[in-house]
Amino acid sequence: MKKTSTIIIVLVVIAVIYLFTSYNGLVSAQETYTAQWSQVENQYQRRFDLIPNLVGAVQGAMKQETAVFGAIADARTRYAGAQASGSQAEKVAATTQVESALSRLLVVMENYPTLKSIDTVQNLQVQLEGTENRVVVERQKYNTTVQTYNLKVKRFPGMIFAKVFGFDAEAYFEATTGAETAPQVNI
Amino acid sequence: MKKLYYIVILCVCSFFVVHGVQAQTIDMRLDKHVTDTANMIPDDVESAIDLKLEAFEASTTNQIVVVTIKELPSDETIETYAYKLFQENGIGQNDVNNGVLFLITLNDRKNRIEVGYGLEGILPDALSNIILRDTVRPAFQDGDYGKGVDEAVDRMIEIVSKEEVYKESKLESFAQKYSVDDIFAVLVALFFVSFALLGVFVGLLKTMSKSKSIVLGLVLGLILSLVLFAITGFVYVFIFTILGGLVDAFFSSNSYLAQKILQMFSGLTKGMNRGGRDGFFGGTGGGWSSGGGGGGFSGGGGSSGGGGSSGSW
Repeated sequence: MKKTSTIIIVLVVIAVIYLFTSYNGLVSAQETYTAQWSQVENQYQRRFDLIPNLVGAVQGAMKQETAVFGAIADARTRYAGAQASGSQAEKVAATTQVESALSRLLVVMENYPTLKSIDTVQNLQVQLEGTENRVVVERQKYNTTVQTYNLKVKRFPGMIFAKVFGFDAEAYFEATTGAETAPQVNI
Repeated sequence: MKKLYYIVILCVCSFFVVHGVQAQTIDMRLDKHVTDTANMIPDDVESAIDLKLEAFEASTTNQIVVVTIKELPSDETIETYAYKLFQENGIGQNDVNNGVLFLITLNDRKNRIEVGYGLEGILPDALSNIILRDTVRPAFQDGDYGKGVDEAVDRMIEIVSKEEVYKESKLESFAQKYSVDDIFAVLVALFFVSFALLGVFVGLLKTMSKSKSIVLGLVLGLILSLVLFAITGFVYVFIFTILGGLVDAFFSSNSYLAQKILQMFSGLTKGMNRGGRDGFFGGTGGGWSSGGGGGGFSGGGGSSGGGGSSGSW
């Protein structure tokens, strides 16, 4: 009889340890992708900060393109608003708007060859391009971290505990229409 | 019978625990600082650049790597390709991410300087772009690829050596770079295989010693060993999910010991990857090379965030 009780105790201890570790695993996976999302937002912010510089550098020569500058101003206001309200869906939507307004500006800039030969403008364009690429990379990393988490949530046997503890699968970042192509800049 | 059924299911499940979903890779292992697969750089220039970059790495630990390819795969842009190549080879040292990749695709007439996280401050996008535009493009347009690459490398060395490498935040390198899963997979595989072998062995011995007929013993032994195999599968799923949690907790604690162990393992797994490619454990290629030692290139596990600049000629 002693033997059975020892076995039961060992099994209970193992089960408890397993419970703890799987819970902690879920929490750390969740933290990882949250942290990664803030990396994505860092890059959004960087792009956001670069835009006024670019606008400032080209606006003088492109006075008649009021529609483009108006769209950029609108998109920035909306992004700032979304930033304040804090919902992720809203941020993504606002980001998309910033992206399309920005790419429109870059396209229109093609009509001003003299602008492109200015060093400041050129450097700003390169920086924006670089930021776009970083956004893509950080989003991709975000999706990878979400995947790691989702696998923990959906796979057997972890999924049982995920259900019990109330961990739901997280949505991947899907580029919305217009956002999947970074604005092309030809120098 | 029902029990066996469950055990088999668990075994199948356990298989999937190890075989995670993998992102598409380009699978190109670099073992030199200059890898000229498009054969556009004259051989003597190539080895001169290689030596230069090796010496530069030995004295500063910065890894600058040049790769030329014939053309990009149809589903990749130069940005995505450069990023994957950078990450897969871990260019730069893993805690400072001080790597630079200069990638050239001959038929697409495109090039890119991909800069690791740690060098983004010294070699910002605008500067990479200036190198591509003012140094590389004129030489490439003349068809003098050797000169273009050589001068670009000189410019990069000059810029990068101007400043001490600064450390990036821990979070980034830790969460992304060290793959606990990799280490784990190796351990699990070793454990599993040894248990399975043991199971087979014990099963064979036991039944053979008990029964008089060798054939019967063999058959019974095989059945028994299969059962043992299944059981070890079950045990391993259970134990390793527990252990996995503990190991995870340990390695994400960011303690000094955890970091050291991870460094050791990342070296080991890298070595094994390389060994697997050219004969097990580094057979023909002489792929092993530890930092600054006997030549060749071996990535330090550096990471890139997509910094740098692309150009064309």
